[in-house]
Amino acid sequence: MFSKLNTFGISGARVFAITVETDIARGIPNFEVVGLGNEAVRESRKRVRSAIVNQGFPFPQGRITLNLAPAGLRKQGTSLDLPIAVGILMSMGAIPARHFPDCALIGELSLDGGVRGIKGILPMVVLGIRNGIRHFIIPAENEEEALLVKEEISVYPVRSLGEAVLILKSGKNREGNFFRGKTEKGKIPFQPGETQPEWDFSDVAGQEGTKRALEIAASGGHNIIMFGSAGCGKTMMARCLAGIMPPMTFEESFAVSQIYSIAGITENGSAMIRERPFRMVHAGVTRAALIGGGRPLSLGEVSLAHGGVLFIDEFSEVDRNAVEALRQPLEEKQVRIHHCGVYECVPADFMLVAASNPCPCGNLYEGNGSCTCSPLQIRNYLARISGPILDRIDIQTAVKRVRADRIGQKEGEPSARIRERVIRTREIQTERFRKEEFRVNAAISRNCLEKYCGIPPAARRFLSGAIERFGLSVRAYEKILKVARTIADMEGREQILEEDLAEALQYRCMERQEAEAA
Amino acid sequence: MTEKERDPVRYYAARYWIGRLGRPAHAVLDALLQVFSGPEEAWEESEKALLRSVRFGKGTLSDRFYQAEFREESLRVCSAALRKGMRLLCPEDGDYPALLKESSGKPLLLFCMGQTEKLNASRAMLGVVGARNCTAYGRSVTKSLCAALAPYGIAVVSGLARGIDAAAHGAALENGMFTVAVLGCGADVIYPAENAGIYRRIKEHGVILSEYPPGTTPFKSNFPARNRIIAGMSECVLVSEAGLGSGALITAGLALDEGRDVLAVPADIDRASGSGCNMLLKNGAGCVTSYRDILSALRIDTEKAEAGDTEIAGLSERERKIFLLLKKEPGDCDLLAEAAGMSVSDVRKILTMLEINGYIKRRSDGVYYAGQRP
Repeated sequence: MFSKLNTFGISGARVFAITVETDIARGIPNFEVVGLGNEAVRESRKRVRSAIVNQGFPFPQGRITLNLAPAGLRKQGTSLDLPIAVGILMSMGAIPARHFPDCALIGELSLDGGVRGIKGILPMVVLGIRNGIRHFIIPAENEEEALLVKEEISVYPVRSLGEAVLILKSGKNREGNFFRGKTEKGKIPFQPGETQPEWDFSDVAGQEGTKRALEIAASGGHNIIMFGSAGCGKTMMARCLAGIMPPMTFEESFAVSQIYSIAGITENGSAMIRERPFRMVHAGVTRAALIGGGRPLSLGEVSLAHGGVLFIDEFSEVDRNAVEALRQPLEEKQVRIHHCGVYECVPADFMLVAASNPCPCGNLYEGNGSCTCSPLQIRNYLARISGPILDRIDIQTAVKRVRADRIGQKEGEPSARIRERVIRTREIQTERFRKEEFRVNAAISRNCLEKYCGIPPAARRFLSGAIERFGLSVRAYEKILKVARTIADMEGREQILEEDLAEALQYRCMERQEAEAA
Repeated sequence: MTEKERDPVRYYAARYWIGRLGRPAHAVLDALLQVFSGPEEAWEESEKALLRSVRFGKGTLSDRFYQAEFREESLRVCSAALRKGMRLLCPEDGDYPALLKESSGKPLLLFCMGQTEKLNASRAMLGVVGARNCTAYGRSVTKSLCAALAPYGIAVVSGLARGIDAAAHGAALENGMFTVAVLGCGADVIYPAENAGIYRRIKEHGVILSEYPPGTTPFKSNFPARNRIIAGMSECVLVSEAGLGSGALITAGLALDEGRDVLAVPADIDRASGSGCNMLLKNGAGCVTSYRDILSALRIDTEKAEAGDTEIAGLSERERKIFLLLKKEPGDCDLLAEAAGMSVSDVRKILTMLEINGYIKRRSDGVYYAGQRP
């Protein structure tokens, strides 16, 4: 007899719908799975057999053929165990062999028939809703994750194969509750996570200039790079940044949660990622780890930092190949990966925070001849950060060591207070960009630049004069305008003034260094 | 018809050949001229006749003197240079740098590219030399001093090396001054490669010259010899930043040998990269704290009216506060914000304004200092 069930699989960073077709014919007992399953899928035969028997069902005698459609796509993972087992039971008549077009089953089986949680439930449910599926039978472990969606759906969390069979037979679970689903539990209002970062800006003595630059970066979502001596506190301040980023909205949180669901990462055991991601990457990162890759495809740091901050320490020490790979996600807000003939597009909209020494020995800014590098060495060192990458970074700032007598002297402003200002500035932007695709000043598209960053003729003359005087590129013009927009927003001003431009001009120090050296 | 017009290749080859027989070249030429009526005649003589006629023995003169293949090589070099469109200059030529003609180490033949007819058109030639490994301060001082000399028709002579040389050439080109690059390699060889842009601009607006044949690769010992040409061409040599081991000090010594004035820019006493300049000053070099010092060394009157401290008058109160702080001591925006009691963002705004208007300058590490308006 033949049966058909809906389920989902993960391919790379995407989920896709799978139909599990089961047929039991008479003949020499045999159990075959076709449809390009990987090792884990083929192994599922063993789990399914034991699970069925241990849940008290007879295992059918006959030629069992399972087809995973679409048969041309590779399947991976263990989420197919449950639909395979149920398919067999249905084909042998243990469950009335009806077709359930608006129902999907997802789950991994243990040998005793228990159902284990799997990765990627959230995007699977989202896809299912789009495909018209309304009833989801899923592992109990993943219940909360599936309930994150806003649509009215029925979710049946199950702990064992037997429960799943019961539900399909009667529409009731073990406790006799009918359709325990979204309507009951999903009304909890969304609460953004309260970030408790290790470091607070009040721990940083001095460094007001860098703090200001970081505040501007957080307010407008600008990419920022800090050049500074070894041990001047770049890393510490970058970590503090996590504490001043605005909280995530539901939409942002939902998008991030889908990515983390595929990656199998949870936050404090909860599937909903409520805290803005802050990913720290060290200099030894490979290209694949940064943008994603490998087989099976694993997500890169750029995707895990989606909606949040990607902090790369010792930026000029990072493999050139890896750095150059950042160009595309920085430009398109998503990353494209070709792997094993599959073409993946994963969201990667992050704020880049980079820190670097100014020269190989790290003492260039400290004076007193403590730097031992030759000009050629310095030039080559900085040339590792290519022009196109530097072009995509709005704020460049130089950090110096705090004088020894200042350490621990003055209490800085606490992160919480800075964060309040950042939130206020972000609100202005959200309101202004209501009808646009972008949310923050840093993302203003080229054709909207004039609309949102228009400046009076006098200020324009001032800016072009300054650009010429400082030997800046024309590309810098756009960056300066966007940063000035954020500075004006921080003051709550609609009009960008000359003084905003004047401050924004201060954040192009690397380009000026190049212009001076030439 | 002169010798040069009849067979230019042979004319130049004869001089090149003599120039390579021994140093100083003009001493060799003088010795030959005691016997022959001109370089061409010496060139024509057979080996035997030369041995008979030239007073000094085989040992003191290069072995090349007797080798026919060396003469052929000389012909090859000169015809190749002419084919490449280079201009060859001998001391007899009107465009040969006038001061160099009087110097003891003058080359008998220069391979030149660019605007050679302007070589003697400048009011004065100023040699600018300094460390390759220079600081941003050295670079900016060199630039502003050179730029300030632009209205006075002064040409800048330097060696197209990294650092100070490149800054001097760059400032001259930017301000429309005539500039001469004296190379330690062939005039058609770009070294260092990072100065390719400056090289091309000098070729267009100035002169690139070398005593080495085209295609000569840079060799360590060529550079001190090149310095003697810089010193010989210039009325004054300015050392804008040099450590104790710098080749710029060799140039300064050669300039003194030629009786040229040596000027130096004073440096912090605890900075190794400027100690060579301070040593020169201690030994009596002219001290340069303004472009006017250079003008007076070149004996050019400063007709321009001097601008006093009235420049502060145009500043707002807060701008003046920051400017005066910087005049006392250089500082970065954190220090200034604290000293002036303003927010960092306000200080940044003021710094940009002051810098655009030329009151202050920025070092690459973000430290500002009050600049002297050149």
